[in-house]
Amino acid sequence: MNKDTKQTEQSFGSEIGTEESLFEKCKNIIKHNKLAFFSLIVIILIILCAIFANVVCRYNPYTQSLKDRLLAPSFAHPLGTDELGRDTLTRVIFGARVSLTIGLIPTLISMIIGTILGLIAGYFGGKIDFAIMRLADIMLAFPSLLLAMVVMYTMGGGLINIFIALSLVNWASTSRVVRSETLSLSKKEYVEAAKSMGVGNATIIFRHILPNCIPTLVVLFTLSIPSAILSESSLSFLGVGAQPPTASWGLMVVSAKKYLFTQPVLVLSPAIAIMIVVLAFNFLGDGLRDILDPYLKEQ
Amino acid sequence: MVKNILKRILISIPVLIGVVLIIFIMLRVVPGDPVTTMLGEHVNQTVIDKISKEMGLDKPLYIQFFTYISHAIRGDFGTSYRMNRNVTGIILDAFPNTVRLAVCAAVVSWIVGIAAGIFAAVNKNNILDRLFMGGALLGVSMPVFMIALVLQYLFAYKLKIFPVSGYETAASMVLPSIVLGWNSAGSIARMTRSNILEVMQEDYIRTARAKGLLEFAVMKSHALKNAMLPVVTMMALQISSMLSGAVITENIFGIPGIGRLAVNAIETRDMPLLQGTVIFTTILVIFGNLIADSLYSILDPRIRKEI
Amino acid sequence: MDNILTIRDLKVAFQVRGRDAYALDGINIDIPKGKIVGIVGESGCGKSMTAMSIMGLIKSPGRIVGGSIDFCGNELTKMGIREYANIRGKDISMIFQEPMTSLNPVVKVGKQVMEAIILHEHISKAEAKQRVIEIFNEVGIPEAEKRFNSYPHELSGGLRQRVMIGMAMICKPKLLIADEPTTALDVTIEAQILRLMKRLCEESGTSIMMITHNMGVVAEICDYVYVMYAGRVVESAPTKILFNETAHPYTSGLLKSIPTIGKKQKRLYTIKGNVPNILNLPKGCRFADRCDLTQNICLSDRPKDDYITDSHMVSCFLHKRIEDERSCIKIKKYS
Repeated sequence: MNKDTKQTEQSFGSEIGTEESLFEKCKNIIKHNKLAFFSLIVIILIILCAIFANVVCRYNPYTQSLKDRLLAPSFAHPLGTDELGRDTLTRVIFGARVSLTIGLIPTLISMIIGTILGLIAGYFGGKIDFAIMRLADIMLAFPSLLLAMVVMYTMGGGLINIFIALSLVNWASTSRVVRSETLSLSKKEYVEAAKSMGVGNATIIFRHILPNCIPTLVVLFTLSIPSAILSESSLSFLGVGAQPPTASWGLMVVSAKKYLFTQPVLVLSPAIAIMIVVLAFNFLGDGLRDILDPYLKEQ
Repeated sequence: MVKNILKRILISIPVLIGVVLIIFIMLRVVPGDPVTTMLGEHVNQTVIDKISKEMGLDKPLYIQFFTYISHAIRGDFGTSYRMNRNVTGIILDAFPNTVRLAVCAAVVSWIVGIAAGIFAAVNKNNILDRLFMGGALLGVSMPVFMIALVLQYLFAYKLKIFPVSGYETAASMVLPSIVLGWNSAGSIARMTRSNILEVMQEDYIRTARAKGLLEFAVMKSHALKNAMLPVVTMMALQISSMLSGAVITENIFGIPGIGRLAVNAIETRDMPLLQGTVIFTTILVIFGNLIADSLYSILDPRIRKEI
Repeated sequence: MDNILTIRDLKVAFQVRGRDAYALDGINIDIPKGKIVGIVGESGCGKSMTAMSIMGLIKSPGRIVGGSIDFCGNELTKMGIREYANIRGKDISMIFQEPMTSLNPVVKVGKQVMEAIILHEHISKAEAKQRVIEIFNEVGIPEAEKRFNSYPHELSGGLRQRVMIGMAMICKPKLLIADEPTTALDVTIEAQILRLMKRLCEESGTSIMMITHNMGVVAEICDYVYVMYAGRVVESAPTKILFNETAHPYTSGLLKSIPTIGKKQKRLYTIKGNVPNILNLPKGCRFADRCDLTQNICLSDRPKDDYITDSHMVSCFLHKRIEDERSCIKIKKYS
């Protein structure tokens, strides 16, 4: 791009900054990120559905009714019933609880672990940095699904263990990003100034460095949720994740697999549910990245 | 350059040892007796002790570890508890199937991903670009098993073009390769597109245009090489995700590869086999990362010279 | 006059929120054969935009909305893509400001230079290589043969700019556009590069359009000068006349802001204020709010291009060509 266009763009930019109120700014952001905004609405709706699953659903996700086995979609059962006569729609909605908790909580835990380690490594440097980063290298070297499988093997299936497995597996990439941000931030003048005035390390980290990492972390968090959801469904699909009769999307797919050719809707509903949630989080993450964080964009 | 690659190999040795150590500890320490985990709760203590002794699990952990490492260096990963066979042999039998699957999938994902990425970049922001990038995002967002089941339903059951499962014939490899390559194709396409668009803003692209090159030539001889550098690295890194994905793909299509072995090992609670497959796979991944790094330093003259 | 390039009333606009913002608003430039023409102005005044218009490389959302660019009898603004590509690099070539980023980092410099000549003269690779080595020698690159296989990052800034000059001159173009070719270089190298460009162009009869903000460069090598301000040419004249009989207050401001050794100055002159935003141009003269001599008419009307002598154009209300009076209002009065 040549100089003149840059110049004009800059002047457009400053104009936008001065002329518009906060409300208009928000309106503009939404206008330029329609997809992300739409995704946010979808995610909120799904979260609401998951929380109020008891209210939304007419059936109980665990009540079996052998006379209603494998019903085709109908008015009473919009997505039909499974091989044990349970309403598929109800199970999909209850499955959202599992997937969202799996998406949010282990991701949050691994982000916290990764952030703390990344801050320590980047800020203090030296041997601690070396040790943490080599550990991160090792964790990143594992194919994450296999590592999670090993954890599940030693601890057995079940949701709590998935929590632990995913929290342990995914912190390394966060710690790398946080470390490199910390490194560049601690070279900034205001941090150096604070150091020279004798401000304590903890204060510098929490007042100057961490707040500046937050936008990156928010984006990273949003984009990590889908991979956690996918991991859970894969683990459950392989039979080492959630155990029956839990209404987990991965588990639903595997138990309906036998009926793929006779009643595809049974397989497709949970699979499409996974896809929608994953897509929505991906879109939201992309949008947030565009809005918040020029740093990640470059990666 | 050679020095740099040697350096990287040296760095990956401690990573390798760390990997083995972590798997080793995970399988033995948490949370109870490994033999009980293997055999189940209701086996009497004498049997447990006997097997412990047979497998050397009664010795202190560090001795077990060094014994394992020293055997592993010689290519001995222990003996499978269920199959009563050398783990290395079992893995090497399964390995060609995984390699074949991964290579086919890699080729699929590279060709489709790069072509789609370039195509989308050239048609920036018009309907074709949106369509392709929507497809790529769909590729990234779909669980592997869903793609597998949908393709099985369409091509094997409805259209009957390809077999539902199996691994012997070329036709039976088509669906698994697409399934396994799908996710990678999506991310490669996205990365290719954004890199090309970024590179097209560079000053040297303007220089190339000023020289009188037409857009096609600018793309071919100036933009692609720069844009592809990171993509090549990513392609090598995809080996890792392919191997993870292969676990699911192999299980759905009944291909007796490494991933199938790992799941079997978990189902039959065969610890030595699980340990062997995970360590073996991780070594492959580390090797893939090594290739990725080295490729980058071979391809980029700026890095090549610094070393 | 024997002009190689004639720009008439050229307008380039960007569409911003449904309305056009003019980056170039009706400029006229003539470049005579074999001469060096300087284009001077602050950043953002439209200098580079003029160059990119001639090259046909304006980036969207910018576009040419009016006027003509005549190059040796060919109308460039209406030319097809392929035809244009044949002219670029062959008849019109360009040197950019940043030699660091203007060369492709992963392609050998020799190959980058060779590309242009293979494309335009359809000669063999071996021949092309020979020509590249020749031109490398000519532009003063030591060990030309070895440098052929170097990558850009292995060369110093001065050498890279020499490579760029070689690339631009290899097809012996009729017009060379140099967009601040020495701004990124050391002062010592600047003089060498300028001399080199001047020599090469004299040898091959190439005209140069020298874009710069440095009045010293203008004084040293240019034959004619165009002073641009906010998308307009405000004054143009042969270099000597421009320096001695400066007519436009903006030009005189530019000249006064050059430090002079030996002259006692309390403080270096600066032109107050900033370049106006092209989205929000004043109604009258664009320079009015920064000018020391603003009159009422300057705020309400736009000045026209007036030729105060046959070769001296100025766009300012202080000057009117009055045929029966021998001279116009001299700049000396207020400088």
